[in-house]
Amino acid sequence: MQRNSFLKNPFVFAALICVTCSFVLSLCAEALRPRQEMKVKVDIHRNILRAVGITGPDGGDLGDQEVEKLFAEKLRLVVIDPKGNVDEKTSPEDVESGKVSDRLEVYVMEENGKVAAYVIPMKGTGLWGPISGYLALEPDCSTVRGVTFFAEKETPGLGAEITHTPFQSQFKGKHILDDSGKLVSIKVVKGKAAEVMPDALDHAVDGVSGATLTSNGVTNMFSDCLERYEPYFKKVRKS
Amino acid sequence: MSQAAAERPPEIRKKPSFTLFSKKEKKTLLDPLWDDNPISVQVLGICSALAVTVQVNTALVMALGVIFVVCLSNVAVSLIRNWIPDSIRIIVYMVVIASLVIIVDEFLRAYLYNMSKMLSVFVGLIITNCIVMGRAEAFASKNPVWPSFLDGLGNTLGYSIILLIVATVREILGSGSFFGFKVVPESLYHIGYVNNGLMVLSPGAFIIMGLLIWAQRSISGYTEEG
Repeated sequence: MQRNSFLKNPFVFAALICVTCSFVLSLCAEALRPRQEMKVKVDIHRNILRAVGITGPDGGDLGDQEVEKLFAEKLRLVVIDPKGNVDEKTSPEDVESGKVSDRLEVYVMEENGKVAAYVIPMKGTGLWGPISGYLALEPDCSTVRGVTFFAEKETPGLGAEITHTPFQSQFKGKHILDDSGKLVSIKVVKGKAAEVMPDALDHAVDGVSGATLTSNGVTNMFSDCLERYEPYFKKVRKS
Repeated sequence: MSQAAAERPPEIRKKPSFTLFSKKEKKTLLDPLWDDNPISVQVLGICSALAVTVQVNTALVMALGVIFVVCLSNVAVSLIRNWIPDSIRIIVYMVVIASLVIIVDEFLRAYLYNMSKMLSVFVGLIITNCIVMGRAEAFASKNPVWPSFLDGLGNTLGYSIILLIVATVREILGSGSFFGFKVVPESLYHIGYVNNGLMVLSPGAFIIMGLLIWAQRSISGYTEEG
């Protein structure tokens, strides 16, 4: 009875419950953390592979192990500084984890000893929240090889259409440079690109109807990110 | 030894009278499926039912998450029901429920990463699902462990059924697919059929839910007391 009434003291009981629950939760979080971190990493790699055009059968997702194998085989992460020089002193892990913020990441894909593609991460803002993606460029640093976008917060059926294949496949083969070699990026137009910008079809794709703000977000994301990477790409094109 | 042996028989005699489901317990489990459905009769937990029912697979994972949380929170609350000080009981339920929801979220992130990205905040919002708190306060805090478990299971199954029906209708009409597989034939699109955009937005869920509640209540004859 004595023990019982002691337990019934609200403060004692609250303290006990809190300690028990936090113990269980920290145990659970600690035990699952390595797996969670691995999943996040594999997901990034899977999307980079998707951007360069490597997917599972019928455009489905590759299995975790396959992703890691292909990624290790074909891609390596190169860190570059804002001036466009390759920075070998900064470790890629520090950039990936956000410890070093003024460095840029480029994933270089190599096949048979030759560069096959450059992949850059992109970040921007949609209508409701952040959007992001990966852009894969051919070795000429102008032709788009493929893109992937993520937009978890965008409206399903409208803005979130940018995460689907029909929208993304439009980017393939477009150019980020004009004929004179100037950076013009790629624009997501309102409506059909063939009607709105018939003379610049090489730099425009059809917008998603009913999602103009998300489309504009994609346009801005492209121009912002490409501008930052242009110094590096310029150097690559020259060499 | 001999004393213990002598004491045993009465215990054993008691056992046969214990059944897994007494009549009352069956009622506890089955009532919420139809007569006392948490969504269509009590109209609880509507927010998550609207948010995660665009696709069937997200609705299914959400339903499993809620089943897990409510069953265990009911069991936990029932286990400690005689010790919980009355003045802080709601907070205690909250701590138990929140812990369970975080566990679900952590497991989803580790094992179903894509799914957890799609469900995003709505897993965390199970904490505020009225069904969870409602069952802890209304049932688990007053009943033994086994009936509490059944009550949690029954209520969340009732919730899941509605969730899956709404998700099925929304996915087929809104995206032309079921569990991610295309079910509306390509040829239909060629002759001018388009997916219903309303169904992928929350108002679509409201309409389906309203129709469901109407249908269920006109069959069961349930009316709100004026």
